[in-house]
Amino acid sequence: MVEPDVSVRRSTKVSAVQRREGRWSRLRWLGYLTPAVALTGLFIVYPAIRSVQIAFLSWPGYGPTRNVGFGNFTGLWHDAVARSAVFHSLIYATLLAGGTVVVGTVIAIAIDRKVVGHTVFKFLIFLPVLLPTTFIGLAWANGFDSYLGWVNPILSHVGLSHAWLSNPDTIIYAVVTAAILAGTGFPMIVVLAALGDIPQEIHEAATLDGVSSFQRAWKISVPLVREVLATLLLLQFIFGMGQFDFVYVMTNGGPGVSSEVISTFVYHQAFDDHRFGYAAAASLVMSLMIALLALLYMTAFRARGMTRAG
Amino acid sequence: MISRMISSIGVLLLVAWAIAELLPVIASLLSAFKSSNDILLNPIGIPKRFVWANFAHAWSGPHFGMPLWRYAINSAIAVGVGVGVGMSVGTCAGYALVRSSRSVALLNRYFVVLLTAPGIVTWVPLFSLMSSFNLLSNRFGLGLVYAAFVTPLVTVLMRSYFAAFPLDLIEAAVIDGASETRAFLRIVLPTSVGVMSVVALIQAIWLWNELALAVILMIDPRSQTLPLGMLQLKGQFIDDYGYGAQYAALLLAILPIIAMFAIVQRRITDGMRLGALR
Repeated sequence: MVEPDVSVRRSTKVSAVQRREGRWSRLRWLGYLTPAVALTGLFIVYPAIRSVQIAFLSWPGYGPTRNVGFGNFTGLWHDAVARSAVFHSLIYATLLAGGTVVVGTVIAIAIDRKVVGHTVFKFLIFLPVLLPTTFIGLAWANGFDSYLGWVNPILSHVGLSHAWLSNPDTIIYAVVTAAILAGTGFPMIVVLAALGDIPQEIHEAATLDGVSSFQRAWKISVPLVREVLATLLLLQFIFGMGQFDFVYVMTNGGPGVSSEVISTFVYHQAFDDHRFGYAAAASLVMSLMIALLALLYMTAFRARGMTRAG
Repeated sequence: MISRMISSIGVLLLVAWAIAELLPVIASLLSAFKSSNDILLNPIGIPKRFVWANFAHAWSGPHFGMPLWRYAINSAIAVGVGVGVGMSVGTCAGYALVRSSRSVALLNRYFVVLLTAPGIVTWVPLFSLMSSFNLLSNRFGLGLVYAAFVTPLVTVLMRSYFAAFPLDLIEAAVIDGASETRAFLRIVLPTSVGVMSVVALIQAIWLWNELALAVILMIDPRSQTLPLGMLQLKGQFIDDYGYGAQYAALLLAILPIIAMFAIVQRRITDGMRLGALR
């Protein structure tokens, strides 16, 4: 891209404002930015940097510290609980991203086609996104209960019922089911907006040519919003990897450690077992893992020539 | 004919999904009026007898805990500080990023990176930082942390809004002798109230529902926010008053959000969409 001539642009666009004040203006805008930078610096950037430091310590959160080098990291590598937490997070994030984006897209296409009651559906399906995850998690935890729950009574009509929250093999799926159901509204709204940008003439022309409704969805709507879909998949996956609320509220990682995910693992290590160094190391490993996966995904995505920005 | 059949099947599926999604709300509505016995025998039906006492118990909270409204007040303080401070610093920053020279605008990257950074790396150090400030279990302290966590999104959203703001307006004022600050306060802010209120509303909803930071930083039960209050409504509370009372309390806690969403639905969904694809 050719750089626009800055001096010309300035003299025509921001003339009076910037010519009058010169270098004072830069200082002024720095002043406008300082509170935001200071606040985020103190409560986000400084803690993030400090966690790198803490990750090399053995520290119960108070009193003296002891330097253990890479001990926390090698400990994590051999920790079966940490490994299963990573595994659970990967399952959770994959199902959450896939589930919410696929279902959200299907619903968005239906609403975009103005099905009967589309405004009501839009309202109802988005509503859970705004509700506290604590509320949704608690209600589902009650619902999955084997004695007082409402999930099994409903499922028994189709011949399914199960001790959802006491069976270590299925518990993470019960949690992610609740999360997917509560999370479809967000991808739906985003995809719906992207679909709205597709010129109506394309659909009209295709319909005149005898293209069926399904084919239009699959061959026109989906390809034209694929960049949005890819972004959403990544966002939802990252969100799923860091998920804390549903697991903490519904199972707190239990029974035993059968639904422990990375974030609850970090929480339990730090605030139940007072292993601050170990917890900080785990949180760092998780962040690096997310960054790496995101990078891989974006590279793969670009290699297939699917982004314009490239 | 066939297409009409397909579309009615589609609508049925939509109805099924919407019901499944809203089961927590539906179950709470049905169960909030039931006695524990009724819930046990009749988990998904209409209440046999309406137990209004559930709501009284819900309102006054657990024996050992606080009434629900006390949690709500704690939440209101933390969210109020978070949104107030976050909107103030984020709006100034977003405006400066648009108006400033290129070298300063590099800071843009800083806020975008913060948006994608996972909050979990901050947990452990944040706890010891707040502890050293003596701000653990402090509602205003939590508010400041909340402000920091909403600032990147506020900044990025406001920046993209100000990027389309008509500069001529400000230039005219500055030529007429107004200072930049005066132009910002008297012209830019008043014309941006609509957008700012949407951005603020989205941050408020997010913070109102926030759980993880509150779990970590709010140790004293008297300081806890509404999501933590909801978590208190297990165990002893259920033993004393039954599941119906727990559902009633949950329902009371979410009613304000549902009412608000019904009123300003469009603005919220539009704003959330902007936040996703900045």
